[in-house]
Amino acid sequence: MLQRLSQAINAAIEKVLFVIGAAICLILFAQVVFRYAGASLGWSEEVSRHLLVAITFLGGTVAYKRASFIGLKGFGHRLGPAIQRAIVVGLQVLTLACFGLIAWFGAAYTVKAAEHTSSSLQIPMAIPFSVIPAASVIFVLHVLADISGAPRRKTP
Amino acid sequence: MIVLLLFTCLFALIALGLPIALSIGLPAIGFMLTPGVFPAGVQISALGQTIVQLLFAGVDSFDLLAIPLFMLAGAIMETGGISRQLIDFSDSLVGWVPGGLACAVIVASMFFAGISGSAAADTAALGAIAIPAMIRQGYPPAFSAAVVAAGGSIGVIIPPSIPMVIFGFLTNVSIAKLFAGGMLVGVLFGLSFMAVAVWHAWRHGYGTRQVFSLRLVWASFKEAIWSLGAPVIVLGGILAGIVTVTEAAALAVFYALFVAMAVNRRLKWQDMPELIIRSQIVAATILFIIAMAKVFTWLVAMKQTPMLVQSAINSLALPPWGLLLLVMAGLLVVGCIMETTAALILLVPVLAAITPQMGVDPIQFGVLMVVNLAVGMLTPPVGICLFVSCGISGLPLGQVGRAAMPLVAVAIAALLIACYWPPLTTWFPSLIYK
Repeated sequence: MLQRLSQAINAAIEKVLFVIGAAICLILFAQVVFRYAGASLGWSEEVSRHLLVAITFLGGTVAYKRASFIGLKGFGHRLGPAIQRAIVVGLQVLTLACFGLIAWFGAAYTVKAAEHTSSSLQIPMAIPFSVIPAASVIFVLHVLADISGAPRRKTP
Repeated sequence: MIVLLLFTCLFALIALGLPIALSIGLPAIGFMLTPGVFPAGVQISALGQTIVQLLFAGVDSFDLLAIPLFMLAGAIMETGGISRQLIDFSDSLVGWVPGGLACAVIVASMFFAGISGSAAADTAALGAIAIPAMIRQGYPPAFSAAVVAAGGSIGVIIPPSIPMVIFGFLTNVSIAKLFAGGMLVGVLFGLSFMAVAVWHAWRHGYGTRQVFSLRLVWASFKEAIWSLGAPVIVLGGILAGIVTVTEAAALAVFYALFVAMAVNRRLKWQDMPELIIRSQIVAATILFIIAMAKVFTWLVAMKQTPMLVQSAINSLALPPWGLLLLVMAGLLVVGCIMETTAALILLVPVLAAITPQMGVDPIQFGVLMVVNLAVGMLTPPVGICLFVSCGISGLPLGQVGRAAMPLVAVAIAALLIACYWPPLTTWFPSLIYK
């Protein structure tokens, strides 16, 4: 159940990444064209920056799911399968705690940021900030799915 | 003390196998929320909100947008058949010298470096074609993989360069000037690697040599002309001040699409979703390190570490050349054991403060730091170009790492020239930006 949910959310986030990636290309292309046409876009830079934040955190969840994060294999595998498994579970628990905390504080800050608006679009800053708690919850889900499922190699 | 513990946890977690981004973020967030690290009046909730703000601010940057875009442009060009065209054109240029194909791979890497900005992308793009071709011509597999990895490392020296984007973002130094500063050093690296390839091929009789023919050069040039146009548009646009680095990256994506779809007809619209998703994920792995490291470096700065390091270095009373040598030697060691983005983000705040004592200007130091870390991409245990080239060739890291040693040696020699002959890094930027 947990694993199916984790996979379904990951598939949806991959589609979101495609939309964001395509949107950034089009917005920046339009930015250049409009500037040379004498009608600079006031909003393009802000929107693309916020989309980059979304790529970072949502893309991070997909990188975790696809085991694409940069890292070393670790020395645990030399110490036998039992110790390796203990190390993996220990690291998963630490990761879980870290993203749990970020989700908690992120949600609190997102609520607080609703009072502020962005400089050019005048949208509540809660919108761009919300990606951090949302991605952290997805991280928590992926880690829980990993803990409940079979051990998976985490690093390339 | 906290900073020492922070770095100990960082290296311990990396050694245990936790991804680098999380190895940086976990201890930083953990220590920030630990009672007693900050004065008693500071509330945990305020620190938690600071963490969220730092994570956001770490990547809320127009300059960093260039990272996913250059990744995507490189991926499109690679899928669009550019690698073969660049190798064929380079082979027609230098295939007549001993070790001709090895030299051609290095020249092709230099051309590809003008498009991609990532050493791993450069290595992957050419390795799949170049390593089997070199083995067919009688080059030893480990040497072939090492040459491709060395060529790939030029990807971050010749602009565009993702590590230079990160350095510029961290220090507010002009990214365009850094790009201009890397140009000649990249060419020097390429020539140095070619010298090793020629020496080895001549000594051991590797490979076959082809006859130089202007007709062949012209024919392969016509084939590759659209692909060769990409670096001209990207670098020309940036250096002429027509577009910003990030805008140039977006234009590179559209130009790459045009070449891959309309000219080479190797890419279809239905390939695009996977290409975009894959490049966003690769970019996210770098950006995530940057976001997490923002919390780490904030904590390090709060504990006055850059100033402590600065006063410790001042107490050594080294002459500028000696200090530069010490820093470069230290960076070479760091480059061997640490991933480039992490090394840049963790060390730039400390090292940028002592740039004047080293007698170098910020542009030269930025280029030197990126070049230095590029050498680290060729050395085990953490050499991204070696990882990619071992993945393609199926050879063990140790074997390719040993074969790469002569290439690492000339790379260090080229680095020393760049250190102590400033015009190599400063002449080109000063020519363009008078």
